[in-house]
Amino acid sequence: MVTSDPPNNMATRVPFYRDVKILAVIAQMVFVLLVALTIWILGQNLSTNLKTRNLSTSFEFLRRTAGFQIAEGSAFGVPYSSEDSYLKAIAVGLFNTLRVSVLGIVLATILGVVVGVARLSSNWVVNRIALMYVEVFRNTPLLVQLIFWYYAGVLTLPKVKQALEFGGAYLSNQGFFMPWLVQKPDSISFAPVWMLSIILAVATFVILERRCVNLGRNDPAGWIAFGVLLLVLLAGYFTLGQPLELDLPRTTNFGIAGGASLSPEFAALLIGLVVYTASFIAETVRAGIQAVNKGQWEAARAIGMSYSQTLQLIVLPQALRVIIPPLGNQYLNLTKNSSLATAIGFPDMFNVLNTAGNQSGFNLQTMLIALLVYLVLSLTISSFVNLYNRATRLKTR
Amino acid sequence: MVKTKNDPVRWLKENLFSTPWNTVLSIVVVIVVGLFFKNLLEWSFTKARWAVIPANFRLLMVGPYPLEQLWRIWASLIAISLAAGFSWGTSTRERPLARAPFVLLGAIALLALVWQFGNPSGTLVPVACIGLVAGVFIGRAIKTENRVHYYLWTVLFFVCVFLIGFDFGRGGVPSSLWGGLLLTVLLSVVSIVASFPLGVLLAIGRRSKLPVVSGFCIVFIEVVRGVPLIAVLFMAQLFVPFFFPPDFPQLDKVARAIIGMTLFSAAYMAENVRGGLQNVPSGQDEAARAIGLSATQTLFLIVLPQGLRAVIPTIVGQFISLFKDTSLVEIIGLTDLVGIGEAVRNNPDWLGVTREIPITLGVIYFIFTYSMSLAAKNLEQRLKTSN
Amino acid sequence: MNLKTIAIGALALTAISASIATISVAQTQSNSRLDVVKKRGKLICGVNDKLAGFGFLDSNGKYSGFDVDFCKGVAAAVFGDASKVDYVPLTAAARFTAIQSGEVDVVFRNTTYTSSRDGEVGVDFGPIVFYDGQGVMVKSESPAKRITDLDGATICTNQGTTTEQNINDYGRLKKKQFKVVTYSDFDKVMAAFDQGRCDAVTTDSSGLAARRATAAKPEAYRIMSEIISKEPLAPFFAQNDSRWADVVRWTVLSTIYAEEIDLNSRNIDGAKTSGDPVVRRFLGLEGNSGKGFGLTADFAVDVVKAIGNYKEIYDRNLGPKTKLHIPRTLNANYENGGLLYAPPFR
Repeated sequence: MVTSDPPNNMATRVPFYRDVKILAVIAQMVFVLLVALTIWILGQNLSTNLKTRNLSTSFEFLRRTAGFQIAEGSAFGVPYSSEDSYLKAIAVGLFNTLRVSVLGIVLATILGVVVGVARLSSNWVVNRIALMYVEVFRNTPLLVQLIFWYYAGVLTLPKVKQALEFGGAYLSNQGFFMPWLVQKPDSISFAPVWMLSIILAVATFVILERRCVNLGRNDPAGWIAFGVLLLVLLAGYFTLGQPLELDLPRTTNFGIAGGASLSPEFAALLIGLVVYTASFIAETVRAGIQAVNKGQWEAARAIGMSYSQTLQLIVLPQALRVIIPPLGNQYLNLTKNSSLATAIGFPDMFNVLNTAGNQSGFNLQTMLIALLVYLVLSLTISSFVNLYNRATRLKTR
Repeated sequence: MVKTKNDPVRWLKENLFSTPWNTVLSIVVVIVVGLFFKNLLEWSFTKARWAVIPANFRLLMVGPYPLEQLWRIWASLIAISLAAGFSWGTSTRERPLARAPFVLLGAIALLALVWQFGNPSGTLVPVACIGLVAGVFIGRAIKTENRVHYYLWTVLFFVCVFLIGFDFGRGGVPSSLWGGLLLTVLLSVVSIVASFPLGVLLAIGRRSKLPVVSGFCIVFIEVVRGVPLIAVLFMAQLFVPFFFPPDFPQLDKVARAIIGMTLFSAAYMAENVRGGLQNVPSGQDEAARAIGLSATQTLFLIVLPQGLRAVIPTIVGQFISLFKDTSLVEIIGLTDLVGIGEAVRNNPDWLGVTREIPITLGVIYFIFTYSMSLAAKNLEQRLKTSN
Repeated sequence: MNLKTIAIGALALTAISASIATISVAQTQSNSRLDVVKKRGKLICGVNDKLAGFGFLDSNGKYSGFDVDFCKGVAAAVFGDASKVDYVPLTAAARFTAIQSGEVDVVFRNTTYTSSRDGEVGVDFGPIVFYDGQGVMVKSESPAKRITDLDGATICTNQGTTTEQNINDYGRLKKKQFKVVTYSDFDKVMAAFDQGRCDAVTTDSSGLAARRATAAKPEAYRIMSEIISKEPLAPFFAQNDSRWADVVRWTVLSTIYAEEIDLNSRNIDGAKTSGDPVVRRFLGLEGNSGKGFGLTADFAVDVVKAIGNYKEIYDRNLGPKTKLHIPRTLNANYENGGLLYAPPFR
């Protein structure tokens, strides 16, 4: 109902209960009051419940001995054992989460782009297969896929006694083992050389790329950067007195030891995350490519570019602008979905926090830590995407 | 793709062998995919032990739901099929009757009769099919307004939830005995329905000009969207009881899972609804204000109806992902479709049956989600053309 | 709708919620769980649903097992009716929070009684219902004869249990490397074991026996004879509630005591004519120990009638006539060389 005031009142001052500004303030105060009240009620209940059940709210337990093993991973390079603290155990979990997420994001992007491009292929077989892939993996739950990859996939590999061997590497359902370079005992640490080589290689790549763009040349920047990487590594290896040796996997009584290994849990989780996320990325890529004006294709083909050249140099760079925001969302989803590791026994952060909570009895604290860390991870990824978005935005005017 | 009629050779040439590169690609892909399907078929006809599915079919459908109470499920199913037929009939009144769905229904009914004769499903599946068909004809015959359907489905929703769980003098069915597909559907439907009003409120709140209100809504939405569902579910399991007074009746696991999923879903719903509201032209708002509607009236009578109408397909999409996400309740120990599937897979009587169960679960989920996504596409088309 | 109505509405809302607040804020009342259970008319009991012999949910939605019987016993003690129980299946990881949050009244779920759980987790334990120890099971063809032979092997167990820590301690003690892989429940552990992901599994030896007995081919598994830890299994409930603790404690003890004085579900009605003062006190005919717990004087009769004495419960679920067939050894009456010993009813 609209109450219209008599016109002669218009000239007088607006009474306070009709002043929009004051009302806005009052409304906000009421809202704040309501929210505060709800929070207070809930908080009161929480604190009485904690008190009656004699539960502590301190985080002191993080410094105690964890007492449980973690099947794989290290606290960002520092090895973990069951005598270490809960805090360190959680760090191992975080490391595992990051490991699987970063690798997953890279692989899912590659697979997603390939499938997305295949969806638009003029080849009938290829685009139908890509369509089938997308529909099957998008429309079934990730958890079911993970269970499939783990129990019906990785664990059905040959048992460790009948492990497949090729070139010193072993493949079995207890994991994939391959020769790996390790630090010789009592030698100078090689880690700084790794870091230096990566920094130099990235720097070379960036500088060369920029020069290429400026000069309109087409140098193989990637290859040159790779060469720099190898060169630095080799130089470091010999100047430090050959501190590395090859660690070959060998069969023991039970399974295989030595070398670098990839656990079945990690493999299943990685495959599951990559395959699932790629099906979503494929759809974003397809939509992005289709959003690029048809004229761009025709023009590029008209000046004699091949299909793949057109795609790589003309269409994809333009499609990227449409693709990036939803792609960032998919990266976020992949990171969050890595918490499903619990279902197949991979010690990601959520799994480790869960174990820590159960072993110590401080479940509330460990869940709070989980929420906070995932929130930080999400915000980090979305701010990176926003940064990239801003940098590549179409500059008009 | 160019459509050519009655010329398979030309079609092949254009779609498979247009260039040498394409020819190679086609051949390689056909060989790889052919090998994959050959192995798959070989495995599923020789090695696979599909007997595990019929042997545990009731478990997969309803979990440990007591046998003597199954009539509740059947009653709900028949009521739903009648109502679904009714809505279907109404919405297709202007068009001629398509024959294909009826043939399909007949086939399903016949199969159920032949296959499971004597079992309740052998008689009740055909009854449900007949209900669906009867509903279609009723829907085509009776002129109804859209409103009727909203009321019908709202009432039906409560009736079914009531039927499935509540006491009729002889003891109800506690939620710890709900399971299988039944629990999956129940969890997802109840959560999406409950998250709708919450999501709309959050979306309106986020658009509010009052900084405190919008700030609160933004924080809630972003925090929930920033954490994994599994963390929200664990939080709901652990924390929810702590926020109630000790003498408050305890919320069971299913209720807490629903609370978790509703809060989670509401944050995404809010973002979807906000998208819809943003797409309502600002002229609508201004026009409404100009004819003297208050801000609240404008929102509820002008902006929201248009905004919500536009996001219906998106909401269906969200329902699809929520439907898939309910599978995570397996990790907190509920016996939903995946939970029951895991129990069956780990049953010592079916040792070594590893692939059959996840594949079957995948197919069941696929049937639901794919048909819903087709429906969403259909809806989108109709909304576009009707505007 | 004008602005005045909004303002009035908001004020009304505030008033309503304020009044709700005063009602719903939790009071630190010293309400015993017993009153809550009595008021509800049903016991909510946390159990395992996947361990044959202890707590198992069959495909018809019925729970059975040793732990489940004790749940029925508590219901019989409180209500005189063993059927007034709602079971809540709990995973190893969720069992303590289920008590902390008040979701369940008591948990009978093959849980080891330890000092840290009693002291820090916010629960109190009842009397020990089963004396167990941790064992290790391998495939029959495994070369390992002793646990120490498993150096370098992968051992699977379930997450959030004492077994996860014990196997680790044992490895440290014996200077052996065990790779421990954990899963959220023991079904998954067994599945991984069967597929060859693990060389051995470890848990309570009763649990191993149950797993082996219910396996499709029990002879495919071998349980090693060594026991690496003490696993006294006991019920638990919320901390600092001695009335409720008494009810659970004396329900369990009454079954043990009944066995000591040769009372069972069949002869207990006839025993009412007995002149033995010990029997008469147990039946609540003399003295009224049950009243002190807030129960009826003859609650023990209801318990024994409903679930039998300890021997009957044991034999029904774990005894020689069952698939599991776990010898009683430590779980025999003290007169038969076991550890079961109930304080007197007087």
